Amino acid sequence: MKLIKKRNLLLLLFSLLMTTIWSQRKTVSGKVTSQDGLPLPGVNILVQGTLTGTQTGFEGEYSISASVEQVLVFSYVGQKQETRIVDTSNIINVQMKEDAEALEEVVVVGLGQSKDPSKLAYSIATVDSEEVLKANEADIVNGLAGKTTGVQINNSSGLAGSSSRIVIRGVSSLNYNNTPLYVIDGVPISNSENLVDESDDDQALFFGSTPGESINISPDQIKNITILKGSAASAIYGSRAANGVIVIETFKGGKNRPPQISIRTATSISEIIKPELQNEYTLGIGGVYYSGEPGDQTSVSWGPKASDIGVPTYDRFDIFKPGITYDNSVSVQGGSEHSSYYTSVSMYNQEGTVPNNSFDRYSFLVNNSFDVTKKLKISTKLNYVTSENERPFEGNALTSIMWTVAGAPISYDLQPSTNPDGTQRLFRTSRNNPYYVLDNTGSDYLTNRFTPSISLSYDINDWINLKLNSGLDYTVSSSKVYENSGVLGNYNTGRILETERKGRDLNTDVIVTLNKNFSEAITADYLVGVGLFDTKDNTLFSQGSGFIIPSFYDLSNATSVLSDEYTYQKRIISAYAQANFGYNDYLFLTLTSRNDKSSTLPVKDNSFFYYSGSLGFDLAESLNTTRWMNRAMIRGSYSKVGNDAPAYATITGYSQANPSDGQRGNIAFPFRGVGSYVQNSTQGNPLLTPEFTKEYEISADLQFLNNRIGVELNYYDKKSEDQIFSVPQSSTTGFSAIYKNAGSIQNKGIEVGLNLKPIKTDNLYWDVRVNYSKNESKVLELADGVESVRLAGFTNPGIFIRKGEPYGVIWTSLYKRNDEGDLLLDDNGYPQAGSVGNAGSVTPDWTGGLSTSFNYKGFEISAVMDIRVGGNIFNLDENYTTFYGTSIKTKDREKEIILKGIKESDGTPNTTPIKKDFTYYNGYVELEEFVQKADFLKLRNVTLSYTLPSSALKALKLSNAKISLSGRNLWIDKDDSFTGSDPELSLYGSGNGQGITNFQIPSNKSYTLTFNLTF
Amino acid sequence: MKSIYKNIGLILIILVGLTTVMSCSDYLDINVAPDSPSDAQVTESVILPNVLAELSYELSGGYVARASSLWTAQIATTGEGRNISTLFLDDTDVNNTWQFSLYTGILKDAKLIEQKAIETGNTQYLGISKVIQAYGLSIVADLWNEAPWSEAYDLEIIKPKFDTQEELYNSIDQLLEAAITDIDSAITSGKIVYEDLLYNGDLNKWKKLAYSLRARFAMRLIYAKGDSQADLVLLYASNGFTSNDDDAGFAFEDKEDANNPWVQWADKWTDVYINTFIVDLLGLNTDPRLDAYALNNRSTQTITGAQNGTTIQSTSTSYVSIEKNLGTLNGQSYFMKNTSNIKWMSYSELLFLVSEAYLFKQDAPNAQINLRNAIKANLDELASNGILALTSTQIINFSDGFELPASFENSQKMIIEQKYIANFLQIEPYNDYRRTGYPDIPLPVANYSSQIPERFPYGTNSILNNADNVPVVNYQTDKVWWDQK
Repeated sequence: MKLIKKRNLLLLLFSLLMTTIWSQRKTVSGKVTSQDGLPLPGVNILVQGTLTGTQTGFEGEYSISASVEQVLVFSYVGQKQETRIVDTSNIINVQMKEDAEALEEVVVVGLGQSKDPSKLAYSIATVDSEEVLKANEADIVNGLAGKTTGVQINNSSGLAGSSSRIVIRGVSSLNYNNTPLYVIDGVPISNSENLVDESDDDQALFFGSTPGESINISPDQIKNITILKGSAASAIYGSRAANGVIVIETFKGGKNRPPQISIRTATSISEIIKPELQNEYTLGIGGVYYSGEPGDQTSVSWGPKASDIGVPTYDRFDIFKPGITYDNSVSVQGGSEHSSYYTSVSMYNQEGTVPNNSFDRYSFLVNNSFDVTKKLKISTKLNYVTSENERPFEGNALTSIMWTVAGAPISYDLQPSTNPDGTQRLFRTSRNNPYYVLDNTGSDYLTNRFTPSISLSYDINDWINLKLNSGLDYTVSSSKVYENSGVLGNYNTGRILETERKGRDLNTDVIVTLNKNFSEAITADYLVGVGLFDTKDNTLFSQGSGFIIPSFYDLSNATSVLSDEYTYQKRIISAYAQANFGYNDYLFLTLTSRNDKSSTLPVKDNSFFYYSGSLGFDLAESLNTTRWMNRAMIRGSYSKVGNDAPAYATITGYSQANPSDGQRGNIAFPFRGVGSYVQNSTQGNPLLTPEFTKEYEISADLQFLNNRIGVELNYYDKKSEDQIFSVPQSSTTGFSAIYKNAGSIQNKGIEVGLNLKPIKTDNLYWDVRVNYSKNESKVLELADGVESVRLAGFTNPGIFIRKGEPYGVIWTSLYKRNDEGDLLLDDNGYPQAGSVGNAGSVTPDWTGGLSTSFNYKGFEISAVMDIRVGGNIFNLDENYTTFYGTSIKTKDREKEIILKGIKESDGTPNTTPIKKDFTYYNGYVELEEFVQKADFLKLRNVTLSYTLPSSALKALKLSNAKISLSGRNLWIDKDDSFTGSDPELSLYGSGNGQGITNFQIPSNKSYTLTFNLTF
Repeated sequence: MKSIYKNIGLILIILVGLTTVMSCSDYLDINVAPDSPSDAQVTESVILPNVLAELSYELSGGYVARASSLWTAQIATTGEGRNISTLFLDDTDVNNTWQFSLYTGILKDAKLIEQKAIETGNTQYLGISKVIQAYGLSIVADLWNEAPWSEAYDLEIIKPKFDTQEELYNSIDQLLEAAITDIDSAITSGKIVYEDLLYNGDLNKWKKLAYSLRARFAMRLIYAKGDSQADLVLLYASNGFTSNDDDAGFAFEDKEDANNPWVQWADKWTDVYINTFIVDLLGLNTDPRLDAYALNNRSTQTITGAQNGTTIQSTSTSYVSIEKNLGTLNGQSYFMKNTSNIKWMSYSELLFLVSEAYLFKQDAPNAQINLRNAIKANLDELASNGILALTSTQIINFSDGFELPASFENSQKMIIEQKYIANFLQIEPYNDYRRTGYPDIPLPVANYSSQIPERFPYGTNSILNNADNVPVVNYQTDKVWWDQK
């Protein structure tokens, strides 16, 4: 890793040299102004037919070398292009004219169509890529947090390279993937996690989560992000878009633009946000001190106060260190008369807050577009991303370092981690010393991703265009997970797990668009296309155990090697059509239909059709009130979108035998030289049919006072029916589950966005954006006779789907209560065990965000806040740490309290005091005790930046220079009941089972210094 | 205009062409998992090894055996919290055993072998599958009393009713009777068993196992059905095991993920200590087997027991297992060796059953002889495996030292106590304890039940998915049907 980082510097130097390439001849200078006569900064000036070009400065001024007779091309977004022939004069001043058509904002919606957002019949959301970049997150998903309505984002852990989950408008699939489809430059990419072992369906619980695919998108190469939240907008993308679409456009350069070189370099320092633990009581039992040395060991900190017996104390969190991140990128973009280009290399190198944790990503992107003839345009893209993530274990495994960190007594020095004879040293048996674990375990995930694509566009005539889009997503990823011999875990003699996955997604679309207006007033365009999606994925797993030589992590070093493979293949053929109509720029209608044929459905019945219709009416335009009310678009839509089954769900298969006790032991076949297969415990179903989601949406998009006030309102109600999932059933039938069309889930919600620009003058600019989203999910139906399905965690505690409840409830042992909900206590004042039941929903009631920025001349200060209200989290850490006596809750162990409740024996209010001590946590506590509120208010980001004035830029021969300092997660206000690091952390990463936190690496706060230079 | 039509024609041709090419049904007919063999490829002998391994691993050496060994105070694990060692169980604890090991595991796989064997006429697999079904079902019946069987494995019924324990035992007996017929027919027609990891294809031994199991189950029902069961025990035993060589012992491999379940448990889960109770019981007769059962502790180099429901100091207590921190798997204790056998049933156990049957028949001399032979068979087994360095004279002297007392109760107590010792780490001690009340087992120091539990509670899978049929039970106090002494 170290070597590569040095290479970053070389690249920077190289790009600096490149700036001196162009030169010579006569210097032409002048000033470019707008239609109103105001200076226009940032206007591109190009000497036609050459690569020579420049940009105007803050005062609209420029100077460029050119020879007489050459043509200067002036271009600027929203302005008509101007050309001037260089003559004898050395000064050419230009006044640009607004281009009414070009001034319109453009967004990229379904299938790469560019549309004017003010003329869309359905609602979408856009996020400024600058805002995402400001967040300084490796994963763009995290960068979206707090910035738009209708999305919920969860981070899995504080480790570098952790996966994040984004859900748009609630969960619409009961049991399968609920993450949105990512479409980059018109080509969908796959979004599967890099799994350690496909056969292990609960990897997150015992390994921690692994990096998600969205982390392999480099934020600084993104130009804009559009989120298609409703299915009216996403229907054209087909069944894979059932969970919404995140449409990402990368930078492309532009025609007639001089080369522009941008360099961005950011350095961050991060530190952990510690979970709360008690720091007073020592190792021991019943108030008696134990030293933790052999013969005097215990796992619990129920000893005396360290101050009372005068033993030294240690900081459990000494194992953590500051993390550091370097984020560097260099890009060149521009274009000639017939072509445009963008080339970028981006390097992200992060060292986490624990040793052996790093994330390194290199993204190389080349975008080229070339007009072969007036009618034929070719665009090509090549993106190669390689990333490597080294991470220690998290979660509910003995090798999870937080397990012993959180359980460690304050009175025991965890270092050294070994005894003089080299064996592991710890204050107790049956667990690992975290320092020893860091030295002797680890995992390494490597991803290589190629996403080449081409697009051919041919204008058959002035109103018909034929387009071919074809893209490949080829990913080769591998992981290596190892535990040395001597580490307590599943494999005390050492283990190594290697995985290699080759995934290939091929997407091809042939699209015909027709633009033929009926009249001046009635506009119309149509789109007809066919699409082909073919994915094939093959993963090889090898596990070696029983090391011959300790600390040598290679498959050849294992005395027992098991191998397995997993292949996944799926194909979809689609045909689709869309028609857009407009009437007098105030009435808009969009109709979409699509038919998919999927290989995952029974062959005879694999075709399904769906559609959407949207109507938009711009009151402002129709009433001509655009002076004070610029826009008052009211929209309504209805859509029905189909989805296919998971692959291989139509037949019952067999798997290699590997009987396991469901905990840790197993017999892996081949065994004693004999192989064996068993029938899968989930029954296939040849009668599966597609599932459908129906959605209504009503929205309003209002802009007042010259766009100074913007209001966005959305209401939606979507119902997903005939959901295919593996329906659990009594195992006495011979199968624990069967694939069925059974479930139904409803999500309805309100989204409000407010966009204010209270101050907008030449020198002063202030804007405030507020968003609020409320999604109510309800599981309407599971399957006949099925009340609940487990999503994550254990059978108790676990995260379950329950009929009639919001998606995801905590299912765990409860205290005994009467019908009124009062605790029923025993005669000694202690609570009693009740049944296992619902301890609350994990989904928040509502979420919101506030971002604001304030600019004064070159200074800008901006902030993003993020709030989540409602929802619970199961703090599994505290279940363990209250037993160990290290939880902050055990600090008050000597305090007498009277539990509020009723004595069950005689029905009188309880008056008997108890102590929440070892007896309580060891004998009376039910898991319900550890259900905590996940509410939070976060100051996610504060950025202070300064852009150099044009005078200084000129002197430095720069077109832009900016320095910024930002802080992330500087402040978190969480509910008092939550004692962990960050209520946002979820063990299951991008998976469905949100709402459990268990020995993950704590969240971070960080500080970043960024330099942006553009030549 | 003409060229426009031509162009539109071209587009249509491209679109239609692409759609037809891609719509070939073959193109989409790929929904067969490439990693799964087909139903026809999976023959009886492909399934058999897993059923044998699973029964041996999960039940005879897994969760059920751990429950039996902890509750009958043969072993101890540390801790005062609520867990199996302190007699606490809930629906989630037992769910895996019921859902995965039994109903979608052993019983289902054996059923599948049966179905396939009916089609192929392979009576050898038909017989073996029935022995396995009977064994698995007896575990269900003994632990849960009532459980689905007559309506289980019927794809038309998603909520099977629960049969009573008596009905289950009738089914078990019918299965074993049919198994013997099938095996006899297979022997006559010279059928060969492939991949038999238990008996290496010796159908005569399978037949002896079927008879020995019938003897075990006949004795199990003696207080429910009456003393005449003793005659059945003797009848079945006469066709059962005739030497230690016939033992149904399943061997494991000397490598990770293939070793003895007790080693895996001790390795991956918990330290396993010898229980004070069995140390004392062995001490009464200076029983040489103590050395085979436990290791010396680190501080005093003697064998020191521990009690459940306490925080055990690892250095001053004897492990059944090896000490894990040493980082080696070369266990010194016989039961914690990677390759040790897990007994489904032993010749020694059969002799204990015979001894007890004679006791019921008031035939004291035969009860006496068979008790001594049972102890002798057990010691012979340990000596022949090199675990105990005892000469045959020493063994005879030791076993001949056992003299049955005069009263029935005291005699039964001696037989069951000796059986309890011989069946170390097996499931039977818990069944015998419930049936006879012997040995007199102490409660763990910290406990969450005021008696040794009478049975297992029902698992989460049944509660959630077959709620209408699941009986409501108190696992601590509700006795099973055969427990009528």
